Amino acid sequence: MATPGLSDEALLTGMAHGDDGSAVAFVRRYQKRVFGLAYSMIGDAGAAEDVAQEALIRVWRHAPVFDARRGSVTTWVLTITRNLAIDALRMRRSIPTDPDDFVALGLVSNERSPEDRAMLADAGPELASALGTLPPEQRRALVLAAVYGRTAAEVADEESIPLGTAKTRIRAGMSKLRVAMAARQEQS
Amino acid sequence: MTDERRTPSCDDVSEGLAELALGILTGRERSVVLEHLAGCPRCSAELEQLSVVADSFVHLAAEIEPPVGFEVRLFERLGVDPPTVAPDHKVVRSKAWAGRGGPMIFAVAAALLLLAVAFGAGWFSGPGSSRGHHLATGPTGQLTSAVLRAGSQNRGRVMLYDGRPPWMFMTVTDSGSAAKVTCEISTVSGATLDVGTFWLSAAGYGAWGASLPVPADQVRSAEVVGPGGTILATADFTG
Ligand SMILES: [Zn+2]
Repeated sequence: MATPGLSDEALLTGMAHGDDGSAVAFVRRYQKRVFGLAYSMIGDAGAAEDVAQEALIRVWRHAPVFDARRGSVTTWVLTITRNLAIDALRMRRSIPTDPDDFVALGLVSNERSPEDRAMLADAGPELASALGTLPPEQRRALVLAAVYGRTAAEVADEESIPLGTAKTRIRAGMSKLRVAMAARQEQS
Repeated sequence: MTDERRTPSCDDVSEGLAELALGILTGRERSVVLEHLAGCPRCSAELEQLSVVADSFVHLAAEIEPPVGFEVRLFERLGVDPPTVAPDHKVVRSKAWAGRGGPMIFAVAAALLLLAVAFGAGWFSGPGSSRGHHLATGPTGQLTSAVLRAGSQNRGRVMLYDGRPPWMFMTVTDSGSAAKVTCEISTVSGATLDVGTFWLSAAGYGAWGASLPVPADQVRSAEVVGPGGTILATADFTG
């Protein structure tokens, strides 16, 4: 492979200009994360593959309009994946993975090597440690909202709690994570 | 008492800011927050920080090797002709395992296999260990999970993977303080076995995995034992 050292942006540019080599390198760099996110959310390998393939096809199609000012390539690719996984869950009316299992799985795989971290913009480990300091009920509410796109009303419904409690958990959790992650960034 | 026409204050919108950052705010609540943001740099700055947090959740997910043939199927759909595949990269056209209805076990097995390769001795070590990233995985082995409890409090999760070799991994949260802890298991035959030692961070948080000295179905419970032999939390697998 001639392209392993190229940045995500360079590979996207190559893809936008129809370079197959860039597309292959990009897919190989991202497929485990894209499939991993879809699978961690849906818990079904077939549906996760459909989502992961569709996500990478969209990335390939939209490569020409990627705007680096709006965030990293990693976040863009994974957000496309997440949104497709939410649609797939709605369409299939299937039960998503339990928020606690979603987090637990991420903890294991987020122990990445320094080279991988340098290659992939990655806020996972910081977030994982910050999430570990939250009360479990706040963590669940946040994962339901941030990963599965549940509104406060839906979180209230799923957790059998009043709407006000769901809103408070989401706000308190987000506020703590913001402080924890800002503190971490200052340290590093 | 709510005056509908009163300009919302920073306090009024602070709850909505978190929900807006998460993309889950709709309708009137959303327009009230947006209206306030247009004239408030302080809340706009806060929204930006909250959005960074919200965006990072997708980074949290496990990295899992897709099913065999994933790449071939994708490149076919893209009309891309992959160059000669690197020798260490097995791309097989046949489906090695049934795709539909695969249970959660697959993901955990993949995660555990990663662990098994990376930390052969068992413990989560610091950065620098080389990782096995090209594992072909399939749904082998049974997974059981149980909540780690201290009294009625949830303290994390223990998962047992009955593969070859059998593995366990656990996440410990909110246990209070930094400590060196030991994981012990009690077996159905009444033995207590020491599986390994790991550290909890200052917030009493840790993620750890190790191979099991007995088959997973022999485990009755797992205990996290703190300094001085205090049992900090227990996961019961008999229920
Ligand atoms: Zn304001």
